[in-house]
Amino acid sequence: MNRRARRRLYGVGRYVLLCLWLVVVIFPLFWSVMTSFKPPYQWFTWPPTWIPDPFTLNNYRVAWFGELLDTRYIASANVQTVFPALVNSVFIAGTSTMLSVVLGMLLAYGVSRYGILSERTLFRLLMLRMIPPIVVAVPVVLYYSTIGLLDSYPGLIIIYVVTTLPYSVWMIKSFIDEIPIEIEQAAELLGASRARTIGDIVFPLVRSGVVATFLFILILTWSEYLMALTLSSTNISTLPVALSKYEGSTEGRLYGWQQALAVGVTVPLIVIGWAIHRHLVRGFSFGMLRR
Amino acid sequence: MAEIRLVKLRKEFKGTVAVREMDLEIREGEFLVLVGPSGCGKTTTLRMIAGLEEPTSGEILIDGRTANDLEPGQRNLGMVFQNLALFPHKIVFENIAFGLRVKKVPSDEVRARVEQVARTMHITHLLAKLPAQCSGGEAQRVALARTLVTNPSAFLLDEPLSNLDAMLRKEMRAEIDALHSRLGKTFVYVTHDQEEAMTLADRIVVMRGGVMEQIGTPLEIYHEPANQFVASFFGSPAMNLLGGEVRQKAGRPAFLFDGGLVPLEQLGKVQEGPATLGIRPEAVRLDGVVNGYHGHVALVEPLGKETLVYLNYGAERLLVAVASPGLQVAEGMRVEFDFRGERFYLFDSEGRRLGRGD
Amino acid sequence: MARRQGRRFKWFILPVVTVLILFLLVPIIFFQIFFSLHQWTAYIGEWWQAEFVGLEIFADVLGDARFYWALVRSLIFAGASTVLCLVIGFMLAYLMREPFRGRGFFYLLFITPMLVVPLAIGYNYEMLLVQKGPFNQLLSWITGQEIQVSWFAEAVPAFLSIIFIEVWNWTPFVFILMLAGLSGMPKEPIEAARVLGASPLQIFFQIQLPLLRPVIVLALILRFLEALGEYPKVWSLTRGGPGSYTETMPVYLYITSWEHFNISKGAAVSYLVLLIVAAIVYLCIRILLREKRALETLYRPSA
Repeated sequence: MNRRARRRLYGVGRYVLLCLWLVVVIFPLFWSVMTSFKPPYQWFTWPPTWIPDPFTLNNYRVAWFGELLDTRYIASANVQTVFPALVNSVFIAGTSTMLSVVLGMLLAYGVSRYGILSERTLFRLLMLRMIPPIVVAVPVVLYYSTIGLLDSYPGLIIIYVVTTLPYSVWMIKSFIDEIPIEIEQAAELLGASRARTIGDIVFPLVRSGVVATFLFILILTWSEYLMALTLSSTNISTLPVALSKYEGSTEGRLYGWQQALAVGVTVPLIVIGWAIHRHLVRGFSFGMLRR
Repeated sequence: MAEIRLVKLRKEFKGTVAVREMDLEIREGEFLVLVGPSGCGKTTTLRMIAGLEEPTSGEILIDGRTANDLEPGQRNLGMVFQNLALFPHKIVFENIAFGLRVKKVPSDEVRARVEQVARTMHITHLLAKLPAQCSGGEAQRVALARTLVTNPSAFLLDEPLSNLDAMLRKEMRAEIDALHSRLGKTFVYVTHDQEEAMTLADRIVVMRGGVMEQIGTPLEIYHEPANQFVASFFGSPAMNLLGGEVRQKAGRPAFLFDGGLVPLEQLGKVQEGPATLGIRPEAVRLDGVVNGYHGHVALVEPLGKETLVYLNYGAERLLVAVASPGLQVAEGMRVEFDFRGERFYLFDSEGRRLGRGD
Repeated sequence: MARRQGRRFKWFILPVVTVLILFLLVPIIFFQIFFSLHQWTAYIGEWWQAEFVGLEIFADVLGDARFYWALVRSLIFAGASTVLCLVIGFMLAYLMREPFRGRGFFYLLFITPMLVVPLAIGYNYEMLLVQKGPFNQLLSWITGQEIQVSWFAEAVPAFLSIIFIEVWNWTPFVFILMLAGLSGMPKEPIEAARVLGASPLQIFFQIQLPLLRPVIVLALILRFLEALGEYPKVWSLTRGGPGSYTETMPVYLYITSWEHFNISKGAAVSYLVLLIVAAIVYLCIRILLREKRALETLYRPSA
């Protein structure tokens, strides 16, 4: 078989294998989205309903706007409007991400340009982050309840900042490292002050990386569940916590509403992820990739 | 030993033509250099010979047999890359041995052959090191050794000296030359450096825009350039190109330029019109000139063995001349120069050669 | 990389961050230790009135078979899902290392599972894996037989399910890393190997794989450590069930602390797990640093 034919065969085989995994990837997402459009009697049928007929937006109205459209299920569902959870999520995720990134920038610049921490130390600190959060969940709850931070915004925000700080420092540091220090030296020789050099020269160059880091950490804090669950009761439930309330029903699963909520919570993250995917690699590699 | 033939070889990349219908016969044992500016298609041609690129159309014949369908590893060729392409994670010994191990040569034979090649290339002391620990020149030798040990029928070299500093380059050039003489095998060498081409080649193929502009021995290329491009590409400093016109003056053709008139009788019939006169710097006479053209010195560059003099003539045109050692020149000086009687070249507005005079 | 004089800066920023971290760290450790040594039954008195019981609680935990099972399950769960993630992620990256039509499209879709809220994944799969559910239906179609696996009511299928959703969720992470590694690999050595006669298989094992080792190790370690602590997906899919067959360590911990309200036991378990994981992390740090150093000697001349 000549080379061209061999190459074409490889190309076809590649498509086949990739499409196989594509199906695996898409199938659950497809099902989730479809379910979010199904009327209640199609949520749990045998044989399963693949395409809702008729399409309905009611699930979204119930889940997101709290409209009680189907009185049959009222008793069993803790259907409250999800609006507070949305506000909480936006506020908590946004604030903690912002703080994490700002602190991360300061530290990253310090490590990269001033060497305030050796790379090894930073590396070790980063690895410490790998300890599963569940392990500190119990003491944190106890601690917070003692000092009154339980179920409070600052409490959760502090936790999120501390747990995401290693990521933001590492990612931003790798972006700063990419800029040759000679550029800063050139600016200083031309008379620019420290602040001006950083603000006018360094920052614009790392801006896209910082944005990517911001969005990445936003994804982490937005979808975080464990800490949000254990550290909140009534005041600060976030969206993932609200999502889990849907399983508390006694009359079977409220799939439609649950999925409508899940889809709404997830779609922003997918959009963000697609937007920043190019930058994720640069931050992720922890220096293991040769550039 | 291999004779390589390219028949109507063509390579297109997404809309651009990198190599156009190239026909070339590379003789057994010769040192052929493909030379030209970046993007002229020389590297692409080499890679097609190696099998790393597939031609869009045309044939590659090695020793009379069509090689188009052969994988690179089946063509029994040795290739040295511009950035050496050594395996960074393997020690030098293993780098060299790679081609043998791949063919499942028994270990003791591998050891013997690698050590022998290492001795030939004077790198025995490097065998246990990693490529990153070798200097530029040493790594270059390792790359050569790696191809040598597999005993290929021909060698392909893609700008192997470009990344070396000037002194090292000259040294390695001599070694490659010696290697070729010793082995007697076909070498196909790609470079953009005309000096390298001139010193190493048995024959030179000048390429531009995917087309072979000229093929010939170094001296043929130098003294008989087929067109303006080839003429100005070779020679350092480059050939002077004087812009002007061919006119008939009283029945005799002459070249009119800002400095004056150059009689063109020896060229025979020449068309009137805009043209370019090419004259090599070493052919411009500065001393003992009578009735020559006038100009004044703009810049003097003493190089030691010779001195380059940049002359302004006419309306601020520049001409480079080589001054013989004893000549006293200074910037600002008015001089007379001449080149009638020396070899010059005439090109039309498209760069085609119109004739040659001397 | 030049180091600049930044002492003022250093003394300004480091204390702030250190204070922040210590603000959390010290009390946590304190509470951890306190509660593992004092038996406190919630709602009976304040916590500082809890009774000191020495190492009794620890003994209780270490004697509890459930604890060991949870650890074992976590290790198997993390190990299996990490290996699968690696194999699949690597294969995908290898297939996609060269440009081809539609590559961008595949790439975007392949990274999506990583972006979905983990909790939602659990609920999603709960829907799919129900006995009379679409997944079984799909299987029946493909194999032509009636497949009615009860993915939740039986031990082995349940455990396989949680491994599967973990793989589904995190393969993109490994995929991205592998793809970056493959793309960043120098092309010329591979071409040189081709001309020297190496087959694609030889090139793969002798050149590409060794050069990818640092990234592979990184991916393995990061994934393994995170999988050890995975909680939302397992919880939402099986809650540790059936019985306690999918009770991984985080689930066990959660149940002990919040459902049995045995805070002291929970603290003790946390403490032990912390020690174990810290040991593993320490090992991993050493491995990674060694890889990093090895990588640097390859690309930067020593001395």
